[in-house]
Amino acid sequence: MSNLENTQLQMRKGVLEFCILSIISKGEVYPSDIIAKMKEARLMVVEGTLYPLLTRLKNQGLLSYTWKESVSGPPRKYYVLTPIGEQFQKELSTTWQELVNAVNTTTLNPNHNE
Amino acid sequence: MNKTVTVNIGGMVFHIEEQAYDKLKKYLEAIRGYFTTSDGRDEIIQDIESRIAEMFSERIGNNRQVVIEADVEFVIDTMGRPEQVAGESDDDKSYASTNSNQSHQNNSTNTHRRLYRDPDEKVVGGVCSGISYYIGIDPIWMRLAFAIAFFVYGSGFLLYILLMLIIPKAKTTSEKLEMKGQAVNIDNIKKTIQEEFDDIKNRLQGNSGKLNFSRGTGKISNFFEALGEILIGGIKLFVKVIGGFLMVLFTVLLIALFVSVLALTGAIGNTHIPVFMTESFLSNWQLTLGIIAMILVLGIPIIALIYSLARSLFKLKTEHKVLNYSAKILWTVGVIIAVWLAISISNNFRRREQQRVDIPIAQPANNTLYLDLIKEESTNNYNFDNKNDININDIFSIINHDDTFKISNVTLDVMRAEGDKFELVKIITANGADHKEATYNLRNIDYDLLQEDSVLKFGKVFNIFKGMQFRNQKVKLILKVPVGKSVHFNHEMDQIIYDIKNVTNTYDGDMIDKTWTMTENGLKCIGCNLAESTNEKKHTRVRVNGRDIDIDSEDENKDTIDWENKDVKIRINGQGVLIDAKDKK
Repeated sequence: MSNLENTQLQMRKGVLEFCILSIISKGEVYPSDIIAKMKEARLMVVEGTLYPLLTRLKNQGLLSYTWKESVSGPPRKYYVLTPIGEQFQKELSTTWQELVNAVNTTTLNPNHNE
Repeated sequence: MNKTVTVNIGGMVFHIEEQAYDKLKKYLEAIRGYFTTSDGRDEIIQDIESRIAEMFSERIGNNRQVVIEADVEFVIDTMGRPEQVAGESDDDKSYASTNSNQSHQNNSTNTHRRLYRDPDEKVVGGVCSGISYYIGIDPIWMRLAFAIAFFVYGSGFLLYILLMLIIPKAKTTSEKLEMKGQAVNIDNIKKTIQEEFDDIKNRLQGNSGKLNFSRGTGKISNFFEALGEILIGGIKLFVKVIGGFLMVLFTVLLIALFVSVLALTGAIGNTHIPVFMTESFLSNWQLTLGIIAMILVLGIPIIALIYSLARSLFKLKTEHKVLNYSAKILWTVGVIIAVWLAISISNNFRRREQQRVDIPIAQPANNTLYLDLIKEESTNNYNFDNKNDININDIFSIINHDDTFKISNVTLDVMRAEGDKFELVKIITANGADHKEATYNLRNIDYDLLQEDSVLKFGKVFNIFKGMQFRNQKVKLILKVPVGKSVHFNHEMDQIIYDIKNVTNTYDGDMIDKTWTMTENGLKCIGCNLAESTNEKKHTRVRVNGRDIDIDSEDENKDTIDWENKDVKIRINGQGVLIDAKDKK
């Protein structure tokens, strides 16, 4: 794996958690909805990636889920943020804003420091 | 017409074609292989299965009843390759890329092989198996080679342990594929995991009658594995201990080197300096160069050793190329200086001059000349009577006085005089770079001897003035004793007498405190115990090959050969006589 790919991957991974938590923070969702949004944002191309992530976040106590009947298949897990998860998401959001500012400062004004 | 299998996926029942089933099963196993129970494997698999079930039911709809291979392929494409699925949860195993161009590129050309130890096909540590994958031969040949090498002074064993320490074990599926030189892609991972799965299944079903010989070494292998781990741990510890020990050792060596250099340069006073390292042997520039050469030639390797040891112990990774090269260059310079110095020193000794002087002596009244040493005044710390301090036979002993050097290179020999008078001859020799220098060195040898009536006193050292250099100056005295007259060696004379011939072949050290009379055959000790006992020796004459061999025994009752305690074999043939005595068993 090239350095470029690795860096890209690390960057994506960093924001992936934040994005998923943000999607869930807007209301109870089903993994397929998350994937649809992520695909739209071009952050994720395969669904498989999501399940280990959700499980991990749930095990960290950031998420909880409820089972709901489905028309077309087996019962579905609907995810919501726990209070800890909400706090977590807010803090990530702050950090993200700082990062955006940092990236903007360093990339958009290349002559700033001269 | 295809056979179908009924499966329960995520709580739903599906009819799935057998081929599609195999593919799906391998896929799920592959994913499973990437997670551990602590990752929440079961839950992840369950979630994925639920989603797959959902996708299947969406695709089948009401028109079909059976899941076909295309459905499975669609599902796999949607869910992503196992490593992609796993990629988000584990950094080390991540080969995932969200680049959509690559997500379908299953047959990537990653055929670069890497050397790993193979934990699946191992007998001991999987070294042979790993190497044979790397070079592409059957592991049996590697094992055979190591087995043979084992008997070559155990080198195979050592090499194996070394390789076991160095080569990492292939732990993950990706590493195993890399080891085999196969592309890390879905098909291969599926294949590998399937193989492992089948393997485990076979082992679990081992009691159902099907014996598997390829895994017959399981218990032995586990034993070797445990042994190997212990061995590796032990060796690592041993290496560290040895490394620490060596480091201490070399530090001590370095300190010793510095102390000796300081001593040689005179920074530490009043030490017994070997003459060849003083200004009386070397000129100032030679001395300076000598010390420089010594520091470079000895110091650099020691410092380098300590440095590399410190590096390996503290796991430093910085490497200073400039330092490295300059150290090598300096060392070479040191060697060149040393060689050049050696040539230059040997040039100083090229020429040897000799001078013979007859010294007149008064004839003693009672025909016996008493020989003694001049008492040296103890002007410094050196005690001249203490033989342990200065060995008179050691030509390199040199004593540093205020204005002179005393060199103890004096010998005395006693021979038969032709006439009827005592005669004394002094032969002095010295080296130098040329005739002029050698003669100069010769003429500045200041040797004292004096006579008091019938006592002849010899100096045990000669002086050269400070500023002169040691050029192997030597004083040899020859006392010629006429037949019928005697000499008496006083107690201290053993310090200068050297290899004096006598009829009884008595050693120099045993000749002192005795009076020796010159006979036609040589010096003989008349009336002394030593002479009597030696004269009474029994001589057994054996004639061998025209030459006489004397077998002497000091004690009449004692055999020369200890027949009682030795096994003695005597063989006489055309080549000679062989006497072989061994301790009796």
